[in-house]
Amino acid sequence: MRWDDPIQNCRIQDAHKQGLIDYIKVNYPIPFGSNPHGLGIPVLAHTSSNPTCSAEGVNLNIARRIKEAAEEMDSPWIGEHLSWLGTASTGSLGYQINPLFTDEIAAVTAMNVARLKEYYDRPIALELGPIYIRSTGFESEMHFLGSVADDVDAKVILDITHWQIGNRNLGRLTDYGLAAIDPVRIVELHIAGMRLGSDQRFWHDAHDCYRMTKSCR
Amino acid sequence: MRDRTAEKVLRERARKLQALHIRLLFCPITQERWLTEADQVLHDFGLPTKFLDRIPDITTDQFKAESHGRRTLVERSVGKTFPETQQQLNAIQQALTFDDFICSEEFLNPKSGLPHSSGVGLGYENVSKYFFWLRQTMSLKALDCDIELRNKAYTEFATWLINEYKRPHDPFYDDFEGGLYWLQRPGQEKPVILLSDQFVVYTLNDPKTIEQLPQIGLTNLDDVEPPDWPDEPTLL
Repeated sequence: MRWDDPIQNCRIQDAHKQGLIDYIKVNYPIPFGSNPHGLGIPVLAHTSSNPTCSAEGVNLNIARRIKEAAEEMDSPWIGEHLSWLGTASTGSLGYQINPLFTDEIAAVTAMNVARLKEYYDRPIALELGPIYIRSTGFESEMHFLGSVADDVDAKVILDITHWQIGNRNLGRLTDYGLAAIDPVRIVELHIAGMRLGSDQRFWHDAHDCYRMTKSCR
Repeated sequence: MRDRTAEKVLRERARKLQALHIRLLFCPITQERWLTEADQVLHDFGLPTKFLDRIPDITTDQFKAESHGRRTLVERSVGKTFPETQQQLNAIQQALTFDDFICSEEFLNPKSGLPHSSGVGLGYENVSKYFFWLRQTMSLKALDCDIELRNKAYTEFATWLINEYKRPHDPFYDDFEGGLYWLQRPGQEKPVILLSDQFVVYTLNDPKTIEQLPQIGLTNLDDVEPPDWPDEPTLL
């Protein structure tokens, strides 16, 4: 279960007490004043705040906070998105922006991830966002992910929801792309909600539709 | 790759592709130009014509869906914070549109906004970028500004700042303890509008009361600017 906000604490504690979850995947950096480590539940470190595909590189202040948290919680790896966040070396224009899946962006991504991995001194697990636009370089985004992971010996988080969103939005078979990933690299399966847009054609990530505020005793 | 010169060349090429693709995703003005003069747009972004095939076909429904989604996210966050400001803007002839903002350099530049209240740093939200862009572009600090637009934008932005202050926040937001104030009309010492951190609006006309506002630690919204923070180091 992913932890993004202290509003989830109560329900996560309930679920943990009932043996429904073994760990939480904390999305770093965490907001001021929050303390998911205090929940006493094992943590997998994750971040949506590093643009690993950016030509501008990765912000060291953000990376430092993720590294420190992963060390504190002894996370076996750190989850990273293959994404851009904007055109500058910091900040974010909104939700993860899929990069162009081309050779030059793959090369830049491999350099960024290799440096992050060295800096973290810890394995990295890579994942993709939901896809709408067909790749203009690699056969697909899954081939891009598989290639970068092989280049830098990274692990892979298979975001099943995002994978299926991509296949539906691009009119591909359900199992398309899986063969592009070395199965040995897959260490996490990520499942979240997906929803059909109001146009009744394109599918979207639906993390934001699931509010964890109810049923907390 | 350990060859720093080769890496620099590669990153420069990737930087240009990244800049163009992101512009195309967000900015309808760039999209329109791309449809009629793609070669010229590539040239403007410092890219050779042979890179045309790196850029996706922007006429597909898939591209339109992603572009629409990205713009909508920004539009929602801004629209939710500035509903009356945007109504007022719509009422002004030849006023700015949302496209003007989303196609601006300020939208792309993290230093055009405030640090995110969560502490993640500069440029992680678009609300403050929008306010500073609007204040500058519509000259809301000038003597001859549209007073109604100024007061709606200032009230809505001050409300947002206080809301950010009220949750666990980056220390930058400590400045907004107590509330914010501003001259109703630039150049006229009174009345002064004060929005307290309890969301009560006061219209102040007593010069002695007005004089005390900065002394008790309240912030003049006309003085709030994006902080001039140094560039942050990157892992390059």
